[in-house]
Amino acid sequence: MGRKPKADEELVFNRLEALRAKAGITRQQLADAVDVHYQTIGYIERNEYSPSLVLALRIAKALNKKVEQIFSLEEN
Amino acid sequence: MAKKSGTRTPETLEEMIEVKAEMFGNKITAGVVHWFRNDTFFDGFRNTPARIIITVLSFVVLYGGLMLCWSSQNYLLHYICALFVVLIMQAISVRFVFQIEGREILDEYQEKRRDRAYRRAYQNIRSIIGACVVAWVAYTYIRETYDVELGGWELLTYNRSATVAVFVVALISLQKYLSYGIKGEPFLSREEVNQMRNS
Repeated sequence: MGRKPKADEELVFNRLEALRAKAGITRQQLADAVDVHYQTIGYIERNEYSPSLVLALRIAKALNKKVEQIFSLEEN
Repeated sequence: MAKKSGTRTPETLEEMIEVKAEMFGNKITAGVVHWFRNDTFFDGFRNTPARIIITVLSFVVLYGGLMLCWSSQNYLLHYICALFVVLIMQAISVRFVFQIEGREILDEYQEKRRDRAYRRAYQNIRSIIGACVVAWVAYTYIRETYDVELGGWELLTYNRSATVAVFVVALISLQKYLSYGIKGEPFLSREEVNQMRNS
């Protein structure tokens, strides 16, 4: 029972922090590349916020990866 | 290479001035966007402990000021000034997300959080108005059924009416900030901001 989770509270898991570190770019640089505030990158990395499809695609493009390599529905 | 449609070299002085003005405008816009997004000067207002303090302060000023002005009518101007200060502090602490319109400044996270705050604020205001209506009905029922003298419109002098008006306007203005949530930007010092940005 209990409340059904709201759509905006459902989270996707990601490997953004590890992949960004591997690519050698800072949060600020990635944020500038995908046109968001640097804290939004932090929120995504800490799984506190699920990005929109557009932002996920932009992040994937900036990191030169496929979206599914970064984001997933299950925690790996 | 083909030229982009709609762009051409300025020929007259007027066109050159127009182009220069547009470039200058774009530069200013870019500067404003950069400031809103990356400002660290007011970070002391933006972390979670600061958000808690500002929120508590907002409640104290809003309701404390109402009670003070209701009993003594000399403090209305002080009440307005205090509310104004609190509103400015709230606006700074949420990076002016309610003042800024347009996607080019706010990113999707900020927009989503702002919209959620508006939604919650609407629900809160709806509840407050509902509670006031129920209280008014209960008050009139008790007064008329039991013939109890509780006081009526005569309590609302001009100064008290002004106080209530200020309170209502402030309550509505503050709702969006109070509904924004106390979770602030997770930093305590400027060094941590720089560390976070560059890590």
